[in-house]
Amino acid sequence: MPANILRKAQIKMAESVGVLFIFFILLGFGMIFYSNFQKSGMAETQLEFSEMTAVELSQKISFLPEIACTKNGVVDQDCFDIIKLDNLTKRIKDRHDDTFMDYYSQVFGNANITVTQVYPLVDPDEDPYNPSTHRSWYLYNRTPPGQYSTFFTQVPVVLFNATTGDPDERYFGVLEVEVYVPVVTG
Amino acid sequence: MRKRGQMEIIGIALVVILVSLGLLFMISFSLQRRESTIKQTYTHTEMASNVINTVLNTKVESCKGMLVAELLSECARMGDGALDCEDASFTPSGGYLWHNDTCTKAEAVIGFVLNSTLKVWQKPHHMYTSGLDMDFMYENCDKTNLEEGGWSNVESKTFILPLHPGVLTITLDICS
Repeated sequence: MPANILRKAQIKMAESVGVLFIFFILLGFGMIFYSNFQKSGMAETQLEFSEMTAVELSQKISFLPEIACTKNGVVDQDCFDIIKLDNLTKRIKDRHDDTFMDYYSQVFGNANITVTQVYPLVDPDEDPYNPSTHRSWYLYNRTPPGQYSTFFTQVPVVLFNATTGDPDERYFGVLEVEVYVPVVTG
Repeated sequence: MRKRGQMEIIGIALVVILVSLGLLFMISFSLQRRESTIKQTYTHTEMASNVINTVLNTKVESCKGMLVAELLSECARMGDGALDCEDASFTPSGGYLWHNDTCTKAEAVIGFVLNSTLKVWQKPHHMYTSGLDMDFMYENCDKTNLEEGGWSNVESKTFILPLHPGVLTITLDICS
């Protein structure tokens, strides 16, 4: 075979190899980009799911018959009865019995639930703009073992004080729900 | 020779088309990323509704134990000459001591609640009423001019209080 034809064939082959090389590099970039995008999409879905858990829990607590205000058996939406709230907080704090605690662990999961009275202030000496000095009910708290991230939701609620006998004895309160979600590694 | 040149041009055109498609794909994916999350949408919509609903149903210290909704109705009906609310002090330092009418008292209670909740939670908001001179704004959350405050979205909730005659509307906007 003449030498010039052989060289021509070699150049053609080198050209084809070059084209293939560039093609695979572009393909590689595309795959890296796509996998990164998928990964961030999955993380976003997980975040959304965790946020939904926090929202769902706050909704669940808002309608919890153990603390909800009722009038002639009809539930008053976004209203907590202070007497019921006192009682449930005490029972959960005292760890009434295992069945009782198991039930609430299933309902609330890993979370920290607090109800705070914002207005009126109970103690005139408290700082009106410091929530830590306000009257609060520490309803429930359970943290998961290991690392976790938290999702916080606040819901304004009416706090009804039935002890005075006045149906209008209603205060401004806030339900604070902090959901703990274990961090999945790997 | 001419045929070969044509083939090369077709090859280049193919590469350009492929690269353009890739770029288009990348841009469309980037634009698809959602700005607001489920939680943000939920909290802002529900929060606006809950804050107004709860504050209107809150009993006020003094003022004969009226609810905020009743105070507002009284204020809209009678103006500044409405029922005299006795004093009400929030702080030991005496920073808040009022001897006011229903309008001032309602404004003070609503302002206090908004400052203790939405402001503490860093939620830019704007609460206003129709007919009454009551306006609470935090961090320039103005629905009519969102660009100025740098906001992209506003969740709004309006409550209507019946008066005799007429109605009083109370609106709360939460910006994000």
